[in-house]
Amino acid sequence: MTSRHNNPIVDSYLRSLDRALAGRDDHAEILESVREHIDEALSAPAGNESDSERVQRVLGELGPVERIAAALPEDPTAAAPADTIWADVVIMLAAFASIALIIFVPFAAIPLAVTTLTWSIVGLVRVKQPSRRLGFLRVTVVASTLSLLLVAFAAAFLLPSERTGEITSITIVETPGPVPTP
Amino acid sequence: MLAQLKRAPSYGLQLAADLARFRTLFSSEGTIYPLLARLRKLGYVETSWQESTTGPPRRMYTITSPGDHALSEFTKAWGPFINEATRSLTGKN
Repeated sequence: MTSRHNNPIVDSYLRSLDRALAGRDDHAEILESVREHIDEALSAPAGNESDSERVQRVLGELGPVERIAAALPEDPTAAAPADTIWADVVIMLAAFASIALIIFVPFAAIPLAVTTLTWSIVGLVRVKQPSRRLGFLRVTVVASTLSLLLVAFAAAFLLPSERTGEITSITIVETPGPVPTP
Repeated sequence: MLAQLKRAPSYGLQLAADLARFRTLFSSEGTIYPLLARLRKLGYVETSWQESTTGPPRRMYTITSPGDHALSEFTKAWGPFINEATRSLTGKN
């Protein structure tokens, strides 16, 4: 995200705003509007100001990026897009399926649980306001973690640790004697 | 914001300049953009592009019919609200 004017201070400001708005669904719209504001303000005749003074003034009038991001929090009552909710529900069911898979195909349960856990953690980081998604994502985290713990438990306690005829250790015994020379 | 747009369609920099005098409502110019995004999402304003003779094309904001209706409702409620709030604070009936 850069301005038309390729000014490093402006670019840094826009990058900071980009980070401050992360996770909002109106992120791109706000960022683009602020970029247009800066481009328009810097396109106006300069008057007696130097370029750097003008950049400082324009950014100062816009205000700190944290203030812009905090000006109007996302509407907590706004519903998440239906496809996102459905994706969360499917992922939650997949997390429960990974628990069932431990019994039948334990090695398929691991990647499935890791995938659902990753999805839900990323979702929890992105969803900053209370919403229906949070409930699905939290249940998914719990189910995925439980699945991985059960796999670990099964691997630690249920798999045989010693098998007949299997070499489990090698002991090297040194015997005294002359070292043969070639 | 809606009252300002009802007077005339405008673009971000101009809106920010017009609203800058209301320091209690808008602490800095950048804070208008989250509000404009919310109003557009609610369908109270709509945007279009207009060429500019002095710089890049401008994103013009125009109040819509639902936005006009919301402004009217707010204006109707605001008078009684401010009167009762004042009476409550001053203790006068």
